[in-house]
Parts: sequence; C-alpha cells; structure tokens
Amino acid sequence: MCSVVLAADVLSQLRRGALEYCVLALLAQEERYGFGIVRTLGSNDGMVTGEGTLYPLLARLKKAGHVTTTWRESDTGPPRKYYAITAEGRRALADFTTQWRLFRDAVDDILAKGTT
Amino acid sequence: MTTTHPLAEDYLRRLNHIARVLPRHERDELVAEIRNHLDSGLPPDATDADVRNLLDQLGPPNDIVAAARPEHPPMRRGPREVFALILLVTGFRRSSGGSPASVCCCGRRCGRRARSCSQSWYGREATASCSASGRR
Repeated sequence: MCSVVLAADVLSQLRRGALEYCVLALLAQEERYGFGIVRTLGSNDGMVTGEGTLYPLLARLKKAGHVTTTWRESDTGPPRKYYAITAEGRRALADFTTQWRLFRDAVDDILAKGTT
Repeated sequence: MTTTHPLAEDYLRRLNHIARVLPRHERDELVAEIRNHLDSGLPPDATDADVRNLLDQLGPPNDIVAAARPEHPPMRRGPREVFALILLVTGFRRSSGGSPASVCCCGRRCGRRARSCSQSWYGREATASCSASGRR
C-alpha cells in the first residue's frame, strides 16, 4: 500500500474542509439562494469539482444549525430556497477564520523557508 | 415549472435511484434542490447542449449522493464483493438441497469472511448477505 500522501489528495481534503466555511462567508454578507451560491463558488476555479455536491453540504449546514432556509416566490421562475447564516454559523465562521489564518501563515512560512 | 427536458428528467431519475440509500426526507429534499437548480439554470428553450453543460457542471449523481454521506465510502462492486455473494448464495442453496455439508459450510464461511473484509458492504447489503448465509 502506498504511504505517500499525494499533493492532490491533500488539497482535495483541504478544499472539502474549507468549502462549508466559504459558503458561510458568502452568507455572512447576505442571504442567497442555492443556485446563486453554487454559481459563485463554482466560478472560482479550484473550489468545486461537481457543483451538485454543494447541495448536500448546504443540507449539512442547515442540520448543524449554521444556516436557515426560506422559500420565496421569484418573478423570474420557480420559487427559490434562500439560505441565511445564523448566529451559531457566524461563531463557527469566526473560529474557522482565526484557525485558518494561523494555519495558512504557518504553512506559507515553512514553505517559503523550504524553497530558499 | 418542473423540468421537462428528457436529459434532465433522466438525470433526476438516476439521482433519485442512487439516493435511495439516504433517509427518505433527505433524498426528497436533495432531488428537489437539484430539480430547482436545473429549473434555475435552464432557459425555457434549452438545447441539448445547454442541458448537457449544466449536468456536466453538476457532476455525476454518484458524487452528489456520496457527498451526502461522508461517513461511508462510495459503493463499489469489486471482485471481492462478487466472490462473497457467489459463495454465500451457493453455500446456502447447497445446504438446503442436502449436498455434502463440508462443501457448503466452507463456501458459506469463505463468503462471510469475504463479506467482512469488504469495506463497501454495510447496512442493508450486510443484513441481506447474513440472511443469505443463514446466520451471522
């Protein structure tokens, strides 16, 4: 069995872990509907492989109490399900942001030293 | 208001089928969300190419359902699983037909061992294989 961790696997895991906080960060600005969230993140290269996987992620956020949902009528088509961040979601996002910055800075630091 | 393009309907049908491993309300919610996504993303006069592009961006139904259950590895049917199934079933049927006990016992034991080694079998599959083998 191969014990070397491939860079692609590491990044895939990091991406998966960070994605829900990226969703929360989008919602911290304003409430959005599913399609809008998916499109915004999908357009950012390297964020999402299959856009459809964002829907189970949104369901998990709702289950965890980090977001709430409301259906609203739309002028331009079928009713839309809007997602809004909760107070608990904001706390989780703030925690992650702190931890992420520490981690990111530490890794950048070590990588910079390693490549000089 | 519902998506009527045949490619989209086929995709939703496959998603609904693959998502049967989820709790009922989760499955219904997921399929409704994806249907809504397709309705939002397709113009009324969508061409086949439009639909295919949107479905490509959504990704395979298997990946979507896998994302809904991160605690389980993706379902795989490899040689080990097929081998286990054959041994379990042939072992069980041989014993009920009164054939040499040693052969069928060995078959069932091997099948159970193969099943327990398989990481893909869980839940309903594991229970069904227990029934087929006659005992745990």
